[in-house]
Amino acid sequence: MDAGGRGRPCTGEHTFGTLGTVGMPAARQVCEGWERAAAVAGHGAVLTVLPALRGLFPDGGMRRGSVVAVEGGAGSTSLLLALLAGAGGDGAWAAAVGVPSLGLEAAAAAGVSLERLLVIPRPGRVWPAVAAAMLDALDMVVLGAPGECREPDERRLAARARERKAVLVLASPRTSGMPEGARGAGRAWRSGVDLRLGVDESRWEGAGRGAGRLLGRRAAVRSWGRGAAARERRVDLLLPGADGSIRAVPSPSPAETGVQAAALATPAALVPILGTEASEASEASGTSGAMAG
Amino acid sequence: MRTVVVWCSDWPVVSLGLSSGDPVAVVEANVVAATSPAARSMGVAAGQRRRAAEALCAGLLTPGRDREREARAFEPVAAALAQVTPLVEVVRPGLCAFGARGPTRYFGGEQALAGRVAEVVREVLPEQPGYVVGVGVAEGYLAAALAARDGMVVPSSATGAFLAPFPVSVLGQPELGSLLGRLGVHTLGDFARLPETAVLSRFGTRGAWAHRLARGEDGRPLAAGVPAEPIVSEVRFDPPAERSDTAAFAARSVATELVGKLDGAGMACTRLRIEVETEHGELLVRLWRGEEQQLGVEQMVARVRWQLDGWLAGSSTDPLPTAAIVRLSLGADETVAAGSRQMGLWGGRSDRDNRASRGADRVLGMLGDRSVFRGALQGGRSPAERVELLAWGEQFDGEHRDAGLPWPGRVPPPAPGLVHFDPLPVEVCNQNGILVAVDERGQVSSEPRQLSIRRGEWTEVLSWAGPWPADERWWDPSGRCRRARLQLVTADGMAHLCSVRGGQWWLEATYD
Repeated sequence: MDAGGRGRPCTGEHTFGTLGTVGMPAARQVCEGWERAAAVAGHGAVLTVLPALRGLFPDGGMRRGSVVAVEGGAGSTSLLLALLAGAGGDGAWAAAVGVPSLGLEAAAAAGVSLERLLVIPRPGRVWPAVAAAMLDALDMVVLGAPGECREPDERRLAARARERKAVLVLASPRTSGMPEGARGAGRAWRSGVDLRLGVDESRWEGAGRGAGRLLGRRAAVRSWGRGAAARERRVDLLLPGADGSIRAVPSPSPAETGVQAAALATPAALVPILGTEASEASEASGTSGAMAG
Repeated sequence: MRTVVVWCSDWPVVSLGLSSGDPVAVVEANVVAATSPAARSMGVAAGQRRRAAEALCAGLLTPGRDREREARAFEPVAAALAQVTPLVEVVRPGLCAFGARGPTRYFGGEQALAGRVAEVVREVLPEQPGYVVGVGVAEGYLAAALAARDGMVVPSSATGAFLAPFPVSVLGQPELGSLLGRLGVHTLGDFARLPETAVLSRFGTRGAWAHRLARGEDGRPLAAGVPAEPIVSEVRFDPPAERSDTAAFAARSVATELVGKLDGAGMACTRLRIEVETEHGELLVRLWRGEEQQLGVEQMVARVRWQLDGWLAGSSTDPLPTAAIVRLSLGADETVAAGSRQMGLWGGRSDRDNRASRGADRVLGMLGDRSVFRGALQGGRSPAERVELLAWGEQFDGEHRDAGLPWPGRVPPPAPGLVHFDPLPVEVCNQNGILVAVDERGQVSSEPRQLSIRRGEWTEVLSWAGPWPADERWWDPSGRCRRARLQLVTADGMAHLCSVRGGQWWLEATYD
């Protein structure tokens, strides 16, 4: 792979002979040059994000070459999965380096295409070299909070992301499997992060006192950062919804609000464990009559 | 170019060394890959599933496929052919080829050459009824390989007529083959009759090359040849590598470097030259030809392993090495313009895929095998069971649990964002601090109100759902496992999936 082909500004002065004369490699370089030029011009300058999250990004997507950090807090992993799902939308490849516990079933439900996601759960001590190699090759790299992150490593990786026009996403400590409150990559990168995302409020719905099942989380997500992202932005999301997908909170219809008001009016009764709602839950697992008996 | 191809039938079976009267079917990923004549007479054929084959033939032996063993066993044959010509190219164990011009002059004619080759191979490969060693001579590799099945010598002028009745699948390009099939072009003869310009415009350079092959013209791909400056990547071992797997591990980075150089020149490798040198100056050189006309990093690494294993296993002409390996070199002996294998000029997709796969290979070189994975969904009850991690660079092997089947006891979606593959010990207690239990009927003993992970702080449980009891493998007294799962929503906005088994609670996943 010639390093010269990428990142070289296209002057538009190449002439096409027949393919036999110019040769495929030169022609390919020209096309890559055009792609880069177009990327600078504005098309392909951002990695797509899910429609529900567009309101968080000043450019309508993750700007290529930037560093995005997901802050700790409830829902940080689902937010990360939303970013991965959005990026894979137009065939982009991504890697998850140093996040061994990432739930891939949840990722698939959120819309991540698993065949274009490389998972490197344990990069070990050479994690900066691994992250750099992935930034060279792919469009988006998720980096788990390593035990120790030194400033030269941070600067080099941020520079590499900028040069290769890839997006570096720093995962929260919880996503990376570290105890909550540990110094995460997001905190260590004091000055290098362009945009930060955090979940402000999060409320899981669907579970009762032994009744029902988890049906989704309502979350308020906020973004802030530097430069164009200096102004704070907020969106309300289902993170995730009942089927695992991440979308905007649907505005309730008038009929629904009437029903919700009525439901709030009746006090929550203490339901018996094997009452009707609980059998609904066990029906979902297909063990109704046979197991209970 | 006149080519000689030597083909040993059913090599995966022959390399096992079993008696030829046994019914044997070599199995790879539950599908039959090769059969012995005795098995074929009972109706077993390649491509059948293992169970179907076993049903057809009682007493069928079904060993698993071991490509390394096949390569080791073929090494004496390749070494013996060195008596005929120094430039033997091994396509795969059981199939090798070489140019005919020099040996023909030496042995006085192609028929004589074919006879001598058969003799040489028979010296190392004892005759077994039902197994065939075919030697074919024809114009170009494809025609010679097809001629080898019948042991024919096909004159150049008759190549077109010889190739005509074969189906288009022998070209080894499944996409092109299926497309031609849908267009009603079934044999090479039909394909050859299509006008050349139409084929070039519709199928591109790759199709045009296949068209030339079908017409019986020069078998070399377009713009192939020996590159002006040999493209070589090598590595020296200091200290010398005592073990073959050390050398094989280093082969990956050498192969990645070589493919990188080739890409920079816009080339793909069709013939690979592997040189291994020891401290005492012993040198083993072997040429390997890619089956589908190109060799990627994986195939190069596999061939290095085969060559090393073959050399160390010993063979009649090449003596065993007496010292450690100091140098391993991979050279692109013959290349072809990469355009003939790329999907398109504006193929942003194929370029990205190639870049990504080279990046993955680089990381594998840094961290070793089984460090880069991709996920695949499969069936299961716990979140950890529902995903399979497939190692990059390894072939997927083995049974696959169907995610579409009902798995009683599994917790319904949404799936949790964090899966603890090694579940963490937790304590789930009621408000009095007594552990919650779930009995055989799926009833909880008391309401869970607080949760402590790994003896940490207690967090309050706001709401909960479940239990989802699962009685796994109830038919197996030793493997029986009764478990129940609960979803717990805690005061910090998190939700957890906990399971209890034998009174002990574990944190399986967190809905982060």
